[in-house]
Amino acid sequence: MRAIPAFGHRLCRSLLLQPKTSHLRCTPCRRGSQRTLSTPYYDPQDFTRDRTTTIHRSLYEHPEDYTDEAEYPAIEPIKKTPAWVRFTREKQGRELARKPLQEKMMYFRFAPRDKNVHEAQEKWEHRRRFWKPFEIRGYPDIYHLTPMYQYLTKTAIVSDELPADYYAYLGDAELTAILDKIREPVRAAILAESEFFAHNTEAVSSDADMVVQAQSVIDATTRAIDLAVARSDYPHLHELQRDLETKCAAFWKRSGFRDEEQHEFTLDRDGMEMKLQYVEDGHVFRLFRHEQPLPPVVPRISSLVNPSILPAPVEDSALATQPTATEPESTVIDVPLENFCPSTRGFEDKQYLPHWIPGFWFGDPCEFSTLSLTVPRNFAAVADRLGEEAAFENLAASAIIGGFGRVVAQAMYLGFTILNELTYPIVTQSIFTNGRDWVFSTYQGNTIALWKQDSDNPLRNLAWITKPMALFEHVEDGQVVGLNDEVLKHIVRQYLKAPSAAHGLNLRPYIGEPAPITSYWKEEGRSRVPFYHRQERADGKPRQPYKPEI
Amino acid sequence: MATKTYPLWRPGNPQLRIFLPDFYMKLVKPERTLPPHIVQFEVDIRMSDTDVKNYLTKIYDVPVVDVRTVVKQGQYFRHPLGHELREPYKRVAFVTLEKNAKFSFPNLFPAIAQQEKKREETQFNDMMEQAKVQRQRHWDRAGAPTWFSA
Repeated sequence: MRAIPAFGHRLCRSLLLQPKTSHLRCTPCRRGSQRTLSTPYYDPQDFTRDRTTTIHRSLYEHPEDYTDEAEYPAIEPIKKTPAWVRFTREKQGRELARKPLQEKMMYFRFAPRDKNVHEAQEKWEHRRRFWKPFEIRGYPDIYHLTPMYQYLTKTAIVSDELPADYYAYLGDAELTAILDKIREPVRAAILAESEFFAHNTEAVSSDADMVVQAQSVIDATTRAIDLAVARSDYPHLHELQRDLETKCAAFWKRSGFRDEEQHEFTLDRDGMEMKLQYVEDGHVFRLFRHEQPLPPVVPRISSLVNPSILPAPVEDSALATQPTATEPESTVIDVPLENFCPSTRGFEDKQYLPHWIPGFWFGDPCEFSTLSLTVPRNFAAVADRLGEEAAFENLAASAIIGGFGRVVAQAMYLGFTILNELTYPIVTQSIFTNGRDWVFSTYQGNTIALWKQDSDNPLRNLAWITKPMALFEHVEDGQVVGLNDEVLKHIVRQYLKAPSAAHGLNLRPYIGEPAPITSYWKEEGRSRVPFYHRQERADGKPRQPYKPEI
Repeated sequence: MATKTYPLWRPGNPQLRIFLPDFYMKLVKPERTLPPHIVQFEVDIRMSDTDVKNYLTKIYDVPVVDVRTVVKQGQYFRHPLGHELREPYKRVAFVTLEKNAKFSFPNLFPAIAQQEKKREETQFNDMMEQAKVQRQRHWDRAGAPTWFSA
């Protein structure tokens, strides 16, 4: 027979019911069947307080509670409105401004809402499933990308030639003298790698051959220019850092995309901005860096010209037909409104931690890249799939995204973030080549705060990108046919462009004095002797001496 | 089916000759706004990118530059008898035309749209009529809010 427990199902014999949490509540509203374990709370002064006299709170009784000038708290906009997004982002930017780089990066990685980074980091494992920026590759096999990349980076293409004034520092005579010296080494480099081109001038048989050929031509050209010019004329050549095979990565947010309600994970839900992660790996062959930035091509304010912000044109036809002097041609240049979702073009959202890689480690003094030389390894594959013309057009697209990505990544290391806007334009030059055809570009980054609506941010980035130019036609009988001097001139001009910052310009306004180095053990709470070395136990009593048992 | 087996496209010559294709392609309205030079189709799940391209270029002479296809999962739904079923998977083809081409999805049923508009108009007119009748019936309470009256 099974033994029945005497009061196993009850906590207390005197209680007929199993006690619940509701029994512990000292609420005045108890049911009749409920029994409480504790006395309900009564206010002891409830009956004894004298309510016949009033409590005075006037200026005369308490003058210390009043001021002449009233101070009101800041008026915050209504939540989830564009004004509120702007307000909070500016506040976050102010908080971020003086933080070190690592904390800035952590801030973007782990939910800005969380004050405590470590707590947020714990949540990350859960959140990363819902944090999916679009992966933007430098040279993808997607047709007609230029307008879309222009919109993603808010870049206006100024012209299909390099800015003449910017490269006017080199006189014709000097340029010709340099060309005479470098022509032979370049020709020799082409011939040395001409095995492929000698056999087949039209088709591209192997990607690897083409890449190696392009790389050796690049190296030979830069080496020849180094040897051709006097170092005293171009002292910055001494100071350049030369990188091999660098990466580039940048994260930013872009506003104004269509079909917002359809994007769950790729949008920032606060401001409805698209999260974008640019990743470039294995294509950038050479990167040259310097301590000083390149001078701006045009002043930053000139890119302010935005037709949508300018006053509406006059309706009167008689006035409209008259040409006015205050209407330059440059006002026509604007960013195309290609705000379709990147997924419609074949881009994928991926679980990326937002990261920024400018191509060098933090702490390197040379933080401004002057020139990058890129050999896209998949050029032949893209040309095979989309045709050569589209492949060349994609080179222009990758010049845009590469230039902007490098500017954002550099700016991050210089102390700017997407919430702390650039204070001066950052210029980079880039060259894209498959060995025979070359595309040159000069990119001026004016703004990285693309999370703002276009109506709020009149600044735009500017790009000068050339059409593809052939360095030579083909190789025949051990001779290079049709060596193009124009291409060599462009290389020399971009390579020898001297970086120089304007006098008195603060290059890192958001990076303050470094914190004084203190000893680890001098910090708060570190100097305590660990418990196992202390003379006393945690309860304050002396430790028991060790006694041998025998 | 015009052929017994699926006519897989292979590079090289001689090519297979197809006089009547086994598949059809359905032009669908995209959920997300597409650029004007990209068109969305629902195709047979067995069709490859090359098949789609050949279909459009050979039969309709469409200037296709690039084709990208994705397989869309079928949604689960409950059968009226109680058991769960899944819709068949679909293949969606995004066809890229030349960059100057412009395509906008046609209005397939203009008559229906017209009917809808007409129906709304008549509804609105009826409501106005009813309101007029009510106003005439309660002429003595003109201008008073309905809280005071029916």
